[in-house]
Amino acid sequence: MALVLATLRVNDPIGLHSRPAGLIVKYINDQGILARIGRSGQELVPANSPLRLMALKAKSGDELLLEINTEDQELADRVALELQLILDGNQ
Amino acid sequence: MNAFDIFTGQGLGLEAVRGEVFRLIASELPPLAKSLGDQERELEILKSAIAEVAIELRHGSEGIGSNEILLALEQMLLDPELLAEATKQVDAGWDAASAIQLSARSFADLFDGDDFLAERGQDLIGLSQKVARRILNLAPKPDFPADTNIVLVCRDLTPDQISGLPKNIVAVVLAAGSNTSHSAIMLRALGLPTVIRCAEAELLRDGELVLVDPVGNRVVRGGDQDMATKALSFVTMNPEPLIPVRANIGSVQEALVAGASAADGVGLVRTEFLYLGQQVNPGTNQQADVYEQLLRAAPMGPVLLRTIDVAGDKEVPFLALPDQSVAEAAASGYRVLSLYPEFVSDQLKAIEIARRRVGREVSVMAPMISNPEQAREFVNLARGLGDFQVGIMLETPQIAKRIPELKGLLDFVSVGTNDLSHFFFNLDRYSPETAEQINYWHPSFVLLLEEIAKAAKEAGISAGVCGESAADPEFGIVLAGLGFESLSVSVSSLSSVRSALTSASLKQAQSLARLAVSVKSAVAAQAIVRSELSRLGLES
Repeated sequence: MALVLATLRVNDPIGLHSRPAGLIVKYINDQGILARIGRSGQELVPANSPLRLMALKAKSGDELLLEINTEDQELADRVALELQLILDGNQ
Repeated sequence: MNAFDIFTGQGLGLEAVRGEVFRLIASELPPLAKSLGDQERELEILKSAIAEVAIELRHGSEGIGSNEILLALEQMLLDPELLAEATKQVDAGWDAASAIQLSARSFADLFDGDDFLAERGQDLIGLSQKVARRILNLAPKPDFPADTNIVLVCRDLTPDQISGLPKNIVAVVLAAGSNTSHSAIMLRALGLPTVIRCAEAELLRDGELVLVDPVGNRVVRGGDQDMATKALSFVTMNPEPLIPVRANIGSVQEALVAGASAADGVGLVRTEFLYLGQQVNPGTNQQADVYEQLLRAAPMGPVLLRTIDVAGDKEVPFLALPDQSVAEAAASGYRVLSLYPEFVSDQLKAIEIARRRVGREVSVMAPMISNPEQAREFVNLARGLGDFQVGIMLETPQIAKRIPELKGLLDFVSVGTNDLSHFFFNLDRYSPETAEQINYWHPSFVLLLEEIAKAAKEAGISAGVCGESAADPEFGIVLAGLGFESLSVSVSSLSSVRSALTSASLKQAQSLARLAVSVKSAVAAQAIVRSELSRLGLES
């Protein structure tokens, strides 16, 4: 399977706390996506783990790498868009 | 020992009930232990226990409508990484109950350093202990006696514990607790007579009979039904209340409940709920959707939304507001407006979008305004962003004295007696020690209220009261007598306040208000009003 990479930015002043983490996990699980998230240069964590997402302690302004395991570029784009919206605080 | 020991606390609910004490003491978990060697079996046991506790959480959240708290706990419990970490511990030789606790602790350690995450860490540890208890058969549901009426006595209860209580629990007594906590809300919603903050409850013993008397704010050892404090009852003399009684709400759910009640509109929407429980800065569109739901659900009549009212940064971490003393808060006034005007603008824009969608009249007001300049700033902002009735909360003594300067500027004011009395008496209403000394019945405070009502009338500004004092039925009559045009109270207080306001005429209310300021103390004021109401045949 191919690995598609995207960059996400945490724009919500609250950072990546439990509610956005929960929304990401729910989306990933509902869509059945295989993905990982994390900081560049560090080990990426499973996007379906609320605990690992929160443990990133990502604050407003931080950039995160998103790695999606799929052949479908359109799907990957949709996922990146949706997760970015969550990290904007608009969901 | 005296058969009628009385233990005081804070009552929730209107009914008194008698029952047998049952003390709930959390069972101690044993120390961590190694397994007997069958790692596959330990894993099976672990997975089953996790699944069972998750189902319990799911059932708990369904009982009371969608409960975000319980759903978030369920998500953490079912986190594959939690199980993965616990599996490592099983492989290292620990038994299932120990493995889950070790796994939870390791994540909790990762969360250290961040207050908010640290709380989630504590939640996770609590969950792991629940799973451990399940594995070790330390029944989380203790053996309640099944055939008698039980009064549950313990230190505190969590929402998921409350959702699982058997039907023969007829009352609850908590040594700790807060009347605005999720637990208190659930206990009230379930109609369980409750007394919280009853420190002496620790002295109660299993099996003894007690009367739980919420109206009297007490538990009576050995007491029976005749000792129950009677809730006040008024004689209806008029078809409608003297002045309109509206509802105070803080969620869409409460709007729905208010919509099904006799409330004449909504006198206070505490909009913080969009920001507090969610811990995320919602965008204008998401806010607009919530306001729309609220406006559609709210009862007919005016709807007054108060823009975000937060004090320190504990409540809304993303607005970095350093804590303030009482005096500083009164002096600086509405800080959110000066520090984050774009935030208030977004809120007002969202309300306007919702107003247009729903097509009903909407009023907006700012909290904590301390001078006419701030009032003007808010009014200009609001009138530029939407078609609202615009007003302010009147809750600082400074602005209370400058009402004439607000003439021509405001459509209305709403007196927040909670904070106003707090500043007036210069005491901390959040401290249990001093909170009791603040008494809105105090004649000097009532005189201040009279001044406010008169000044507002002269300035052509409609004045209502939305603090807790309005929920006190006898005081509500006094407020009507002082000249206030409306009251707004929590939905649970609606019927008693409406009932009081259908008993007295305006003339009677006015003479009761004069009586209230004719004495020297709060206690005397309340007594003289009560006895006069009784004499007039309006109250029994």
